[in-house]
Amino acid sequence: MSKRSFNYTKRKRLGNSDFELSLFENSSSPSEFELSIPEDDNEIPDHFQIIVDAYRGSKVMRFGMGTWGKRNELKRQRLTAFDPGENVMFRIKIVDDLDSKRRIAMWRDQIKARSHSQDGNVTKSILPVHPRDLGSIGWKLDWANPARPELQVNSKISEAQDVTSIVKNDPDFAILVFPEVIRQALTKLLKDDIEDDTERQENEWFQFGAQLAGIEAPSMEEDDDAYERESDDWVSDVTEAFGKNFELVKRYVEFKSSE
Amino acid sequence: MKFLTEEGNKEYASWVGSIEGTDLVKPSNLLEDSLFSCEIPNSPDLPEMSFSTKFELAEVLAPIVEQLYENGLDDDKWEGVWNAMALQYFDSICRRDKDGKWKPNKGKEFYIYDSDFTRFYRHRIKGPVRLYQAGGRALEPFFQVLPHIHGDFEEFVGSSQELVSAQVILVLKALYAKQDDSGIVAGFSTRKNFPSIEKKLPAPGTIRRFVQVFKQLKRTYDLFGIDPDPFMDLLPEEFSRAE
Repeated sequence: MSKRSFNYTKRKRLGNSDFELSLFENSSSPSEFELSIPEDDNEIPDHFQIIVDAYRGSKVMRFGMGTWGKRNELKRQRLTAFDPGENVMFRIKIVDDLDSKRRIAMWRDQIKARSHSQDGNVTKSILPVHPRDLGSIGWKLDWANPARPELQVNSKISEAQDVTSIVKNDPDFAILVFPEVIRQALTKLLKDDIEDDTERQENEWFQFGAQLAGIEAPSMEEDDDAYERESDDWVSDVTEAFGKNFELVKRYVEFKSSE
Repeated sequence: MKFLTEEGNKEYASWVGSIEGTDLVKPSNLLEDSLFSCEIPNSPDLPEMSFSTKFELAEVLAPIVEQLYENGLDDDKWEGVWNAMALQYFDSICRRDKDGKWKPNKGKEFYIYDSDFTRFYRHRIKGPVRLYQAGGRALEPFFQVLPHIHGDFEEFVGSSQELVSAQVILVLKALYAKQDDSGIVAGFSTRKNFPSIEKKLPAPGTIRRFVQVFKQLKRTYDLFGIDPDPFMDLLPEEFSRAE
């Protein structure tokens, strides 16, 4: 049985096709982002304001981007409050500025921007990597953004800032850690109460899992025990498919024999 | 004024890590030795003083910090700036016991700057200054304590960037400050027992409840841009202006 949701405030959701958010990353200076909102059928008055929040956990930068009527003139903005490479999420709000209570007419939260690296490549990794001083721990998943985990790796082990670098430079770490990362991430996401079905379907991790397992994630059920069993089974299928697709065991054996 | 270099930051951190229960002398030499600190061009001097309240600390240091921002200080220097200021005013931000031994707050982030969003707001210089930059004089009732005291206000408000705004701080002042701004009303962060619930929960109308309600309201209203009076109208009945 799917969940019912009640929308008393008539706040609308910005769909994926209603905007494009690009992040331009720089290794030595603050990143920048650009928002574009194409012409559409949304009946929003021209004077409504477009606000973008860039955030990581409780750290937020707020940008007044301009009015809805001038949404084709939005300028690139600089994320000066965030370190280069920091895993920043975004929130877009369309606000009635003539309402003293500033009601939000449309919004979208937990947006991961399409990332453009310095060399011009476009990437959209579902698992950002952040080297940190983790004391005696090798790695952990950070859930500052509840819908998208970040892999924190002890900076004494690796200074890698993306999954590709880890696979290339530390294949043993990748082989031993990534399946557990997938298991932990999906298990938590399946337990969390994601607001609505559309948000669930558009979550990159659920899409990633569905691609690997060949089947969508189970829907939340009234019967908690049945849901838990189906979730556990699905996560196992995804993890196993990941291991099989990337030949993890074979790679590990080859890596160890080459040492 | 100066910022601590990478070497200076390490020495300072090492000293902070070793002072508990001791009367180790502050390593002021770090602010004089060019290996450990560097002059910031065109920067104001830090006043030689100690601070009797957190508000005084914030009020004096915030304009200095603001000037450094305006001068365009490089991002990578700020860690050294915060640590240098903490070192300079260490006697104000770290208490001593009755025998004169250092008794630092639990957690090195109170004295050694950590840019991680879960910790940076606790720094005993950065934390109050940042809040002052947002709220100005409206903070006075909340900061009538010794500078080393972090407290519930800083923990609940400072930990969330969305609450660090002039409007929110004005609302909090209306809710929790005494009429004469000499302090805050009793019970503003109380927790209480409710029937059938083992754990204590935030009492109605307290700042803990305010943070919970804020998180709900922000999904419907752009709270950052609201003036204090309409904001107050959005709050449920459990919140009322302080008498």
